[in-house]
Amino acid sequence: MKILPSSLRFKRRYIAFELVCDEKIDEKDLIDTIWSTGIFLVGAYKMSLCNIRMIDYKGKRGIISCAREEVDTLRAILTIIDKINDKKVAVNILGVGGSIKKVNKKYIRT
Amino acid sequence: MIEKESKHKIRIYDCIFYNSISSTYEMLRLLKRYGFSGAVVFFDEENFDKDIIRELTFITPKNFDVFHGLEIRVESLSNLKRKISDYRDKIDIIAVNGGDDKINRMASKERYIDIIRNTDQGKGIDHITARFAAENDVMIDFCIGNLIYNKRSLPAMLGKMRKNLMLVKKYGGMTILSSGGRDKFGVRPYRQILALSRFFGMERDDGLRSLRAICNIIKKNKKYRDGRLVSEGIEIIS
Repeated sequence: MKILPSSLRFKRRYIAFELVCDEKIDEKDLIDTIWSTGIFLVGAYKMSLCNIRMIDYKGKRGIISCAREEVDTLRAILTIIDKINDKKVAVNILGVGGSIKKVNKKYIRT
Repeated sequence: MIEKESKHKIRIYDCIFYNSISSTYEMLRLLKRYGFSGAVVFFDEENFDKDIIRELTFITPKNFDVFHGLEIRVESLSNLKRKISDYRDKIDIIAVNGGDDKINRMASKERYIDIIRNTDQGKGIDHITARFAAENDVMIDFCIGNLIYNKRSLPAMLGKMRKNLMLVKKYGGMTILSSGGRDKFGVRPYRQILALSRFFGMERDDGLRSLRAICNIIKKNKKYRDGRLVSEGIEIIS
């Protein structure tokens, strides 16, 4: 399948985040928790609009992408996450950017 | 808009709860990293101690204001008045743990109480409580921690918060937004607090005002304690 031209693609935002936790958290568990919390908080319909995708996750920091209009929704979803696999966690959003490169440079590599 | 305002150094404060010296230190460090200008550390009556307050001043990060508050739990009016007179001069800010209709109403009539907490527990507040709170400058706290840690009752709680906010706005009362954290996992950056507050109908500007509101109350209480503010509107300037 051919990829859409850039003018027709949905606009996205990239959110750099950091986990406040004592133990290592698996990427799959994190994604599962984000989805289940999101469906609980805003429902399946709104989650489909969010278009959430994990771009990168290493150590305690990562980048997650979402639809431009739903940044605040994803912020709220990440805010109410308090446990992943019975491990206490808090998600701190480091910043939001328009490209992976910028977000990586500004928030992840610092 | 938030980004613009943060460049101008808006002074926003969070409310946290004292658990132990080490966890309070962790929370204060995190709050400074999250962009808060200061925090109010609330004590329960059991762990309220002058020595701990003195110790907290040593662990306060640089350029970060820490104030001290007390959360009172009461069942009767006489008990409430006695506790207020006991602690009024010893602490920066006094909060009452609400939750019950009777206690919410009682606290909203008291001019010396600054904050009513946990109004989303029980049945929420009614229009009379909201009116009294607005008249007596008692602020209603909207604690994000309650939403984070009570996931089972989240929909009901959001509904009550929305109703409370509508009533407080209608009567021109003041609101506070706080994370109410008890450990490092309980505190959140202010942008995330604002994002979650939109779920119960608080707009961004109202949210920012709520995050700043506690600072004004502390300043006013300090003036009262120093004897500079005689009563509402009468101040000694010299």
